[in-house]
Amino acid sequence: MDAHLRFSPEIIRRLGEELNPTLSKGILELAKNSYDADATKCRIELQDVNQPGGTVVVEDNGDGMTLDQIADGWLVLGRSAKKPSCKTRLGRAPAGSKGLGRLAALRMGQSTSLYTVSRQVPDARRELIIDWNRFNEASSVEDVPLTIGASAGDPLSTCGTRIEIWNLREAYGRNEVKRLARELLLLADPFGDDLKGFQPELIAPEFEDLQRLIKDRYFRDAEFHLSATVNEDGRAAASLKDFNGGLLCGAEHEQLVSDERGHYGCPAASLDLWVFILNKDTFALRSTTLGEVKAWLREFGGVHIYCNGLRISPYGGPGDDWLGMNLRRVRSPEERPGTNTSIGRVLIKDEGSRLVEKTDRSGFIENSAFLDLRSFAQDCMDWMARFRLKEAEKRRRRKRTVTPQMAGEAQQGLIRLIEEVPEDQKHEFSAALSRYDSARERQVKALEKEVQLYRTLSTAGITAATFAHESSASPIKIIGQCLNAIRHRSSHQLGRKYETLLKGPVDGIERAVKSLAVLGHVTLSMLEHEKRRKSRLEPDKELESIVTAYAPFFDARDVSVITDFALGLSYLHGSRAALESIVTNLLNNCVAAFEDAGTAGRVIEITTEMSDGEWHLSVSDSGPGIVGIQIEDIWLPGHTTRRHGTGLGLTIVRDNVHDFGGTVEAIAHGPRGGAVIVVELPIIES
Amino acid sequence: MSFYLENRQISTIWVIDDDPNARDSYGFTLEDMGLEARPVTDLQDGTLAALRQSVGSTGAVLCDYHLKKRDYSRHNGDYVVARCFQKGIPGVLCTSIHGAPINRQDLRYIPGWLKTSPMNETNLRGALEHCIEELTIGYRPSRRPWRTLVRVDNMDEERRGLTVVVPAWSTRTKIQLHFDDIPGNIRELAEPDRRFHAHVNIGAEDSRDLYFCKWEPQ
Repeated sequence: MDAHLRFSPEIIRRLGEELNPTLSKGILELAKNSYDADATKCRIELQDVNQPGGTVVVEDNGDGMTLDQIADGWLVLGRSAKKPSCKTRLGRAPAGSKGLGRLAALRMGQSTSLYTVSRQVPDARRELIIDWNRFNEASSVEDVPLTIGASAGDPLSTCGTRIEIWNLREAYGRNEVKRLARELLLLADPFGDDLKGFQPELIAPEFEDLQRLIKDRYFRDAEFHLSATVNEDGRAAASLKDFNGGLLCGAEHEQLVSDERGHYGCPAASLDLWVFILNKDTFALRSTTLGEVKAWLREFGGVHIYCNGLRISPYGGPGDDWLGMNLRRVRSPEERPGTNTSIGRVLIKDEGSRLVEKTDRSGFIENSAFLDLRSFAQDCMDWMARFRLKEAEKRRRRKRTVTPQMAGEAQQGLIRLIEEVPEDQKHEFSAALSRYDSARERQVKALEKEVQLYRTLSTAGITAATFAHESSASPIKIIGQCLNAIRHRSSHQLGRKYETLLKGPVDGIERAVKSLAVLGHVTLSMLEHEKRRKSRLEPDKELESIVTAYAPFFDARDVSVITDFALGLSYLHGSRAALESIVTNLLNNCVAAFEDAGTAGRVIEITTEMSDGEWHLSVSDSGPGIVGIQIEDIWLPGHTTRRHGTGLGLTIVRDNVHDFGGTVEAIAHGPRGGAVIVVELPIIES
Repeated sequence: MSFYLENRQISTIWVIDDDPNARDSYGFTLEDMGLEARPVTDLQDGTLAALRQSVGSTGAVLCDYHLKKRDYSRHNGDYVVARCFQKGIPGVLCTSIHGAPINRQDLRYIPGWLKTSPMNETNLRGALEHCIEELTIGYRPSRRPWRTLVRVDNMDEERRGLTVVVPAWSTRTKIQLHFDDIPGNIRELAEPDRRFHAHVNIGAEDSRDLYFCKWEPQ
């Protein structure tokens, strides 16, 4: 018996809806069909789509279809006669490929009507109605006959195609309609001047709002315009212009490539990126407001890809950052654009189909051609960032030279004025100026010293964090693992002798490794980004976690910690990093004091209580107390009695306490003999 | 010797770590447990596929999180273990660094996770047991996802992330998610105080163990 493969009607649903599940994806496919049919207009109307049962109408003025084109093309799924290399009558490279997106759109409703008038046979008006419910009852797709007839009505005045999708199965909300409007507007590169006459239009208020916004085109407000090209041979070139179109610099292929590559293996493409500096100063003297540009960039910002004339989703869409611009900006924030501060496009001419779009229309398959295209765009942006960084550094150097000059000129002006005052007062004015000068000089020196100290500490902090990361990742793990093996093997081999011979040293190493791991953990946890964000804090809970994290560190130093926390439900407003910084600096000071003085019986007592709308923290120790320094000087930067101390710990404590809106006091000798630091921070609610 | 877990015999462990010394150190401990340790010296393209074939029914994978410090792998350990799990290979992920940025989308495929080092017989056996249990029976109670409400607390466009609260898990804990952990359509709609539904393993004890899937707009 002869047999052949048949397809259940279920396959239609699976192929269509699961690949293109949203309104915007489906309709976009119909709009692309209109583009392929050389339409200049494509009008999309949504009727009552906010509830099931609505209607979608897509009408274009393209070339329409003949009877054969409907039967052998439009109704055949999974194959397309369209090839990007075969241009259409208007010279467009066809975008549609398999017809699956169209299927999804058509099946959004219970039935679909097609009316079409072919340019080739303008007198023959064709009509086809598909009732999708009939497929549900059939056992295979081929069992449902379809009839292409002559159109009884006259929905089309000239050649073109009109598709009506009736009785929508689902409701589509405002967000989905807005997304569709946005996708349609961006479909045919609205940023360029060559629209190839294709203008999709959605009859919906959301579309009009966005259309107004897109037409505003704030390109002239961009501070920089990066233009780059890569040719068929994979060689690139780029130029950077200022807001006025003046050339700032240019680069050849060798200056752009990031590695040893000879050329980019992508199709010929061009990149345009407009970069904005969004701050009040930049926009102060412009007719455009900062808010307008921000709103525009919020909707359309990012780098969009246009391949053979049409946009490829999702590149440059909301939340899409295919070039990793935001990540690179976070890693190196200076002089880097992000998707909210720039807009751009990559135009690709790919007649050889080296870039392959995924069937579900979620972008290109990441083959080597696509990866090279991305490298090309990223390399150009890196080159621009390098240029801008150099310029910024020049500006900074200039500023450092100019600022003292300006101060000197101001001083000369003041001296000239003093020359003009009466003789009997001149001496007094000069003496006052001289006193002011030396005070200012001292202040500048102190600040310079403080800045230098902070820089040194920052470097030390970065290095410590790097080492902490490195040691936790490998050496500490390896030591722990090897130690386990030694313990297991030697106890197995030596039996009881292990206890007397090796247990002590092995346990000692284990304790030391634990201490190291704690130090690494504490160092790395201090760098968590979230900790620097201001929020509502439970101070006692934070305190408890810090003391717990420090426990092995204290154990290794024979320090006993006594705690008495209020543990009430009260909150502070500030960053966890600031509170952590206060507490850890105070604890570090206690430990350092014990070490310096060789204190016996090392005790730190930490107590908290809530009263009078404040959280009171007291840290006292059994160390030597505050000696060898005036108590009011302990808060000054760089003042310390410790030989290798930085003198910054308590300054940081004081500054952080002030940031919380609180106060801090020191007592040279408390009940345990050592220093007591009392911090009082305002509570925001109980 | 081998481990017998959920009617499955495990006798060989493939050790994945970009540091050869670390591979050796895991090897010592595994040998002491009576297991055969097979160090994986390179995890570049293709090796993972080959590994899937060679592990067989009596093998498992022990994989460190950091694999990209050297020219060893294009992916970190979370990706590797998750892909192994999806192919039916039991895999244990080892992290020793505080706050290793595990991809939450992959977490649902990582039932065996050693967060503390060193690895020993007890914790390895436990992690493998969890893994095999989920491969053969299904989610453990603490890992079973339930449809629940997720509220966006804050957005951080710069760091490409957001914080969310899952009231059914804790009304007070903010959970950090990276944009990569969230589907594109949800990311587009996300804004502070916006609510979504998602399937979340609300039986988890630690916020680091929470994973999110099947997001749906409210």
